[in-house]
Amino acid sequence: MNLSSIGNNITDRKQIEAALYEAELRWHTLLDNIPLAVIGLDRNGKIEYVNAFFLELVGYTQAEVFGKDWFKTFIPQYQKKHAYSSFKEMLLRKFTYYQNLILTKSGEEKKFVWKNLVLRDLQGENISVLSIGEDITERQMLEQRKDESTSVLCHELRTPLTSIHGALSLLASGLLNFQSDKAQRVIKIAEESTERLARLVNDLLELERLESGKLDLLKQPCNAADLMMQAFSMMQVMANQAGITLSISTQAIQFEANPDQIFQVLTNLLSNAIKFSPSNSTIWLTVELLGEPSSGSRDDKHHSSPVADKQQILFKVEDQGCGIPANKMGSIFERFYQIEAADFGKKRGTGLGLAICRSIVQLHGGQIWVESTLGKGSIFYFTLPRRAVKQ
Amino acid sequence: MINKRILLIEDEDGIREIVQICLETVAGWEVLTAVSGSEGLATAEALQPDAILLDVVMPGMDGPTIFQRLQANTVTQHIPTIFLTAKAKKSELEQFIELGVSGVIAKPIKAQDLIDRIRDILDWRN
Repeated sequence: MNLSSIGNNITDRKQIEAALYEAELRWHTLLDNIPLAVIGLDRNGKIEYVNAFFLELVGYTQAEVFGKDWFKTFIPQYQKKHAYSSFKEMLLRKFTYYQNLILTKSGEEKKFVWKNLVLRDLQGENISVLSIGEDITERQMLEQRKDESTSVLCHELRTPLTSIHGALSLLASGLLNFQSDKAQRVIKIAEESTERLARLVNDLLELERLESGKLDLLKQPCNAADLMMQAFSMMQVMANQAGITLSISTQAIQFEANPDQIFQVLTNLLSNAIKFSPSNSTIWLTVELLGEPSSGSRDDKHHSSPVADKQQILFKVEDQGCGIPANKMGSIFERFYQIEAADFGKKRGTGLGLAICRSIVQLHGGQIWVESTLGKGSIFYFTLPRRAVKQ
Repeated sequence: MINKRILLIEDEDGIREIVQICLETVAGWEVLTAVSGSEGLATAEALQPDAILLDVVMPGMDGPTIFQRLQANTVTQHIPTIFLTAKAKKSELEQFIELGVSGVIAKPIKAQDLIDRIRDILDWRN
């Protein structure tokens, strides 16, 4: 071998080393930056590699897990035996997919789905396993919520349909004399159930429209006192029938909103308050301006000032009704959530009213919430920015 | 067939009235009604119906809970109970059967079909 060929060999080796280094760097950069968990275990389950994404998900540092037993560190106690036998079986049979629960440093359980690759040496012996995993905890929860929501929707649609179907089939059977009181009652039930179904479908469509994010709110100057008086007049008859006093305290605050939608929120909150209040009780509807300058007035001359941009209008509907149990407060604005109104003998709603209120208020850039004491009453609040929020 | 007495536990006014009219007028059965689980349990114990038609989703006590209470009471545990449900998923219906109820009838259902299903489940044809 002459000097020239030795020189060429060294150059070739350096080039190969550089290529290897570059390939490894590229590989590690890829593994540390992909939004998937990557782990490498030896054939006994000792951790040889974990990428940054996985460490972030589980809350450990590399030093805390490197060389540790995978099963002791990350698998919940009740699943350890099964997980370890699955791992051994995987080495033998080389199956590539499985799902399991992973325990984070804080003790939270996350569900992962893994694709595994068994790595072998030149003699064909298993030396390690490389697994790529996805955290599917949130996706599974969303799917579960969707399932539950579909189940409730199905129930809500089928309930009035059952009355309609039963009523019509009973009338069609010819077994009821059409002029009899029973037949007339059956017709009335079918009519009421049809109205309920129509209300439900309308509310569902409205909620979908509001939540689609494609709705143009068509905001315009509104007067809080006018909207409150309109809502007050609309609900007066219902309140009178229930023997409930409506009390209103208005202020002529100007703001920008879709007046029809704010009217809808007010009437919905008042209607709920009436439904859940006993007779001889009072419901108060009030409004105030938040973030108001101490020397300022509430008329229109301040409407376009920088202060007005930060001002919020707070509407309040307070009742002396049955109140909301503490454990139900978090669900009150969810679809199909209904407080049991049976004790008050009132007509049930569609279960979508408060979800619609929340969507309308949020679309306007405001917030809606409730404070309640069981047996004493509830106060529903909602804020709206005084100036329109650009969408 | 005339002397059969059914207890219908259903919180929805419209469904309760329609089913009651249907069972009384078409099938000729006596129908007792209850609007809640607690009322239904008390009626079942006091009046000993031949069968119970029980809604699944109700505020307060739901159908499965009421059924468990009926089973736990020696006075009512022998009464055949049928779930009447607006739940549609096959898996949900199978879960109800596993509880040990005599049958499950899915809503909505035609008046005559409801009677036929009750007769089949309770073997009241003869």
